[in-house]
Amino acid sequence: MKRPSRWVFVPAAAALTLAASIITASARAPQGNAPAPAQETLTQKANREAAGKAPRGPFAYSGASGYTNYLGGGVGRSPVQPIKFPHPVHVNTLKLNCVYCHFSAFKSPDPGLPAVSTCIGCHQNPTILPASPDLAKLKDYAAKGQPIPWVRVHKVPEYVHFPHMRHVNAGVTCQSCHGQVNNMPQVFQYASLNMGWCVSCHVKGYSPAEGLRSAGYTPDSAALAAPRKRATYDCSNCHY
Amino acid sequence: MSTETKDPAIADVIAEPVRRRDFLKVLGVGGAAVTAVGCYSDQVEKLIPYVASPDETVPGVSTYYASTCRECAAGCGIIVETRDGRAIKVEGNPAHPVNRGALCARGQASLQGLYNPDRFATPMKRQGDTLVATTWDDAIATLSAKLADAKQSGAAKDAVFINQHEQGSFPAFLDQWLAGFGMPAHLAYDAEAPISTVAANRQAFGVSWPGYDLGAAKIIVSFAADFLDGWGLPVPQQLAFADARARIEGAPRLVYVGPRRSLTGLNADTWIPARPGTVQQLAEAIAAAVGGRGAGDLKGAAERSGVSAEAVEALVAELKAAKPSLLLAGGAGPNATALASTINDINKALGNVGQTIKPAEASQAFEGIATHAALRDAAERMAAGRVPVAFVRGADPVHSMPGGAKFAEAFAKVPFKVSFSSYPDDTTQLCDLVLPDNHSLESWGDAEPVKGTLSLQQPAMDPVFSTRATADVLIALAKADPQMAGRYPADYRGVIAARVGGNAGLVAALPTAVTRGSALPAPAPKSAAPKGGGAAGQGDYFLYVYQSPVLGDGRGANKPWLQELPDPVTKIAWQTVVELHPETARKLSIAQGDHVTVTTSTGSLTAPAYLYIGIRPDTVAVAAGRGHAAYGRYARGCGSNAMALLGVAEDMRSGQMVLAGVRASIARATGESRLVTTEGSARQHDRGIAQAVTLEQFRTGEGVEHEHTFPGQASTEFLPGLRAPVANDAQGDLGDPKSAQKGQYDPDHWSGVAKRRWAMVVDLARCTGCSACVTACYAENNIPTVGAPWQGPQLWPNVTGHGANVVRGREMAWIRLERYFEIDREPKDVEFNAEFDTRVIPMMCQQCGNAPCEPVCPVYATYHSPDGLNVQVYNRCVGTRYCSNGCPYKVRYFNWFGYGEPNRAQYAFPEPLNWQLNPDVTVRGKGVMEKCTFCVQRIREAENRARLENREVQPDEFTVACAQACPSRALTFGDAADEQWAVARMVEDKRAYHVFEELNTYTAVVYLRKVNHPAAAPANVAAAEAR
Repeated sequence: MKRPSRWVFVPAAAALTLAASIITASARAPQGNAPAPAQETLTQKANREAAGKAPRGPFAYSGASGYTNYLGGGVGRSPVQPIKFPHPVHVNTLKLNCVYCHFSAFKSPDPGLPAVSTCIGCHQNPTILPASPDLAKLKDYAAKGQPIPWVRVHKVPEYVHFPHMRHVNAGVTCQSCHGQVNNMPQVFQYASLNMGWCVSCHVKGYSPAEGLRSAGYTPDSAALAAPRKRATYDCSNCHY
Repeated sequence: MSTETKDPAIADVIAEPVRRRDFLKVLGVGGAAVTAVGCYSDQVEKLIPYVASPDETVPGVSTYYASTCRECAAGCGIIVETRDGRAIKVEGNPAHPVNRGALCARGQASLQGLYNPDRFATPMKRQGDTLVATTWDDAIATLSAKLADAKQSGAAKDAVFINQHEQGSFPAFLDQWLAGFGMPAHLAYDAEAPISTVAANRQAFGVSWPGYDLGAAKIIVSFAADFLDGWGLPVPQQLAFADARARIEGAPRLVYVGPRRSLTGLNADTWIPARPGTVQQLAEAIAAAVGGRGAGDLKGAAERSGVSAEAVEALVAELKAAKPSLLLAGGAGPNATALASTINDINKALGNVGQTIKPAEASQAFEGIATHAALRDAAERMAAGRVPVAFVRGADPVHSMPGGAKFAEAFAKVPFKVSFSSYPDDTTQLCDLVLPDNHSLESWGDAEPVKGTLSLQQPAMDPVFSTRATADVLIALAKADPQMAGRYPADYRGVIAARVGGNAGLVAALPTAVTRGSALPAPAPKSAAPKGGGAAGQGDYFLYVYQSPVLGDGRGANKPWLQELPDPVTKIAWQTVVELHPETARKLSIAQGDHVTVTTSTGSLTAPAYLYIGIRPDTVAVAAGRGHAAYGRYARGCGSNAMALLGVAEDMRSGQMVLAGVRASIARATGESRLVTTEGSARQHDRGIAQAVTLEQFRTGEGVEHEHTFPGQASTEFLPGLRAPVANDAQGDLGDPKSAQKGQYDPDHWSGVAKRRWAMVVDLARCTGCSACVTACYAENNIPTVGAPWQGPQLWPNVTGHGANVVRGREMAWIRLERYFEIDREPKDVEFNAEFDTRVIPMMCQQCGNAPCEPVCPVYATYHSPDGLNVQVYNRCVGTRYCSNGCPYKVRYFNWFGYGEPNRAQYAFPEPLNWQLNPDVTVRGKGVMEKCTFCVQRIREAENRARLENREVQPDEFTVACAQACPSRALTFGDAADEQWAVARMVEDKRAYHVFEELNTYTAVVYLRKVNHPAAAPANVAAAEAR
């Protein structure tokens, strides 16, 4: 006696769209799982698995959960950047500290991105990889006085206020949240960055030993003995 | 309606007590799957770094620049907060001698002048009927050729340059430049300036504006000197007055003499409603009575003024007894200067000079100002075709000159008209060439508010548009002239640097922007022979035009914050109204909102009637400031221009335009409009919202109204000191001391969050109702303005246009100023009576410890935080509005439309207004409830800063935006649980009360009762006199 409401079709259509996007996504996703190195840290393992396992794209930004691949997480999202900036060379080989470029991570909510002039500070030296096409791009941006339009990898929604300095100064290693960027030829999103992930650490507490392990270091006895560092988890700490 | 349900699934759930979170699960069956998909968007966000990193900035951390406010002539010091190169907030500079850290609504709204979406983006040139964009090279070449021509032909000597009146070196710099091209000195125009008072002061004291020490006076008598509305130097006057009134014992009584109770009048303890045109005689009689010059008997003068002779006699007796006193004369009647001179005589006779009037501490704010007669004279020369070229900068005489001066017609006859205005205002629309000026927050300048103290103005950011500082344009033009080129430095920064000993001196002075030094001396004021005729005309009523306390002479009308800010007296926003006394309205069968036509011999104006009990029945008042023909999307077509009613009439002694006392007739016109008002009722209905005591009651503690008795046990458990971090019944299980799950709510929790109880004290003895806090809150918290015509779909045919959303009760101000009249009947039924008390009270979220809004939220979007905040989590909110239903204070505001969403018609921040948005505060979307959060972002910022420096937050280390701005210092914010904070001491004040405390809401906002100072009984005065 009652006509089926047309609203019934909406969830059905949505489910179909969702399914279609997952199928196309997995079809497009490169399946090349990097071979496991001989001695792998826990984080390296997580990175490797995350990079291979998570269905790639199409990623979109959602106001509700940050970057997502329609399955509720942006883990593994790895956008192509305008310049192929190799973190491993700069961090592992040249031993640059993270805060050399991300200069305000310990004093501001915003970690900071290096200005083009920071890059050029070293790269004006013509003997550094004279044939590199990416360095040519960098020099082009510098010559034109244009900023480099980096594609954002890590983002929490705009109604979340994440103060980097509170975390960095509490001793949380960068790698705890960002993964071993020093081993990522192209940076990908390492953690889900959703609220459950944040709160679990705030409630359970941050373990200095785990943090060091995730950064690829072997924790010393002091770190192993240190208690977990808890934080408050009131909504208005981050949401205002 | 039945609560039964036939659906077994739902019935099962309802059989159990429904918990808050389960409630939506019941409602949400079937709907949830759909909504999630709709949230996605395919945007790819870019991270744009600097090309070269500026040395002093840290991304995400504000940089502050000290500068000088240019929104009026007073010259207050400001601190401009910038984030990543954009100015986001303007606050008062605590190191500045004029305003000591406070700032009025107009000063705060300067940001919306800077980011106004209707600013000229490039220079403009006339082509036929329209102005078209051109390049700076072309504009400067065009003007340069014209100047050279005019100089050579001798036409330059008849040129007219109208500049906004301002302090500092620019007026002298401009006159030197004009002289170089053979042009006469400029006219420094300010429609709002109290020119009559300035003229009388020069005559009496030899200075234009002596220091008025309101705090030293035992009684202040204002003759229509609206020193809390914008007359004179608004912020320092308000600071001094509030400080004086906060003393309570020995605080000055305020008596207001004038036909209409302005905000100053409403703050007065006694109102003597003298008939327009008779105040001068009344003042002379008072002068004679207190032993000064002047003649006339008090009784006769009082009778002619239509006021009670006893009141005037009591005033005279009080003036004789209470020394020192301070009498101020303002107003813009036909005899304003004569009145001001008489008042100065009284001040001299009473020995006030040197006590409350200090010529040695004179302000320079009104040095060099041209009389309004000089402007009218220039208009006459233009009309006669004798002006070959005219310039205008920062002033809009077409809008702000009286209609009888026919400025627009006269101006149109000038062959070549140049504007340096940033905005397409009514005057600039007529110009042939526009060279848009930088905003004051983008340019260099100086002011010398007090002799010997230089207040510097520096750019806080790069120009938003392709504009150039006029001073720099003038230098560029001078460089093209071989005779002048050598006289100028490269740019105007060099001129400013020369005032403080060169570049090194400038750099050293900029951190506070206040230094010893002097600006170039102000040029001599320009004047012309005034034309009288102020009281002329036909009609049964006196017209009283006044400059709006919010919009000024109209320069604020293009800033949506100011349009949306209800007038402190009438509570009307976005609208021009005709103010009538209810008695008059009854006589003419006019109801509130009925259209009324006011006609003078010059023109007429039709607007809705507003029934105001604070105006004489024989007077009709209209505020100036609205009714622009241009001036951008927010000003154009909003309201009517009261100046159209005024003919050419000037005070014969000072040349000030006459705004008050003109005869007018009023008649009911067809049609009616709903008033764009935020006011529900002007009456308290015995609710005890804004409470007051008389001085006597304050002393004895007897007869205090609204001694509430509490239902339940609140009176025994609740302490005004707010020591309980969270009321027990607010948090249910968590409030139970025996609960194992108290978590962060446990005062002994390792984090110590629950040890704090953020609270606020509002001292109603200080609050004047100026509403600066409201604008400060808009600026800090990204509050959208909702009154523009396009912001509400036209659902109600009779409620469209400006302010339609406000009419529907959809205003968004998180803090509002409520204004109540203490009378025993509805205002519309009131007979004229000068004796009524007015209460003003800032009302914001009371952060209840036992909040009615919290338990009704089905999604925990609002809850109580351990540190005492009533938190609103925007991303949890689903917009049920139950909380708003539950709130007895009506301080929760709902986003009916997508005011924060750029792709919607109702977007409140059209580019580049959105540059101002505070990055620390979420911009709320459609369907979300929002409210005051005690500036939680500032609390978190202070906590973060303290942690960064490895310390605790220090007592009174920071404050919230409204308290920071308050020019009365009426608001105090802090941690009430820590004795070291000022607020913890203030909550113990014996005047303290909570609004609606009988509701057991355990509010965190404590109000201190207003203290009234009624006239002493005549016997007491006589006794005091005898001593």
